[in-house]
Amino acid sequence: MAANGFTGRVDDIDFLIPDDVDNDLRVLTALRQLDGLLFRDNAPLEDQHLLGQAHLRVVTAAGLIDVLRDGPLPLDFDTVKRKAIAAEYDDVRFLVAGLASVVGFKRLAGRVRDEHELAGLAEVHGELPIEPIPGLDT
Amino acid sequence: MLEPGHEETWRRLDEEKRKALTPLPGTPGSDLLKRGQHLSTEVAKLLRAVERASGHHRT
Repeated sequence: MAANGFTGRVDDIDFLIPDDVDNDLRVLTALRQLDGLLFRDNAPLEDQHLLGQAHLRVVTAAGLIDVLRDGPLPLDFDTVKRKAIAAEYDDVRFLVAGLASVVGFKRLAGRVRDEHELAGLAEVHGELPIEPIPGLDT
Repeated sequence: MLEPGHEETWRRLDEEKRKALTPLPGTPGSDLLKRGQHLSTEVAKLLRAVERASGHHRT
């Protein structure tokens, strides 16, 4: 949200990951380097907490992180990556979900606060890009 | 979970997160301010990084 110009609410970080075991293991390594512990009971992270899972919530030195397995088009990893915003600081390059993907995530969630944030994004960007989501729009 | 049909799971996760991120009653104002400033700093760093990468600068 912040990277797309709406800074009204920032309280955690969401990582979108593809269905890729090798990548899962790298994500786990990174989370452990951030002193990551399982949110629900502060247990050390085990591989099975992410491998084959759709979601992992971790408390880290950088704050609360939700790791989310990608979904069907257009919220699959490749599509979100292709539309992502590139950024870099502290010599680290990273990708942030672009506007169309953020709008998709917010529309799917559909909570009151998501509607508020979509309205906030529309104030910044004008008409928002709407990509049909299977099961939601079709 | 990024598809329709997981609303109840998301509701539970949202509630869990809301509780975790809500400051405890009695948290000193100075601590709340420090937390807000930290988040603002992180957001500003992210925005600057995105703008540097895109060549677009906010005025």
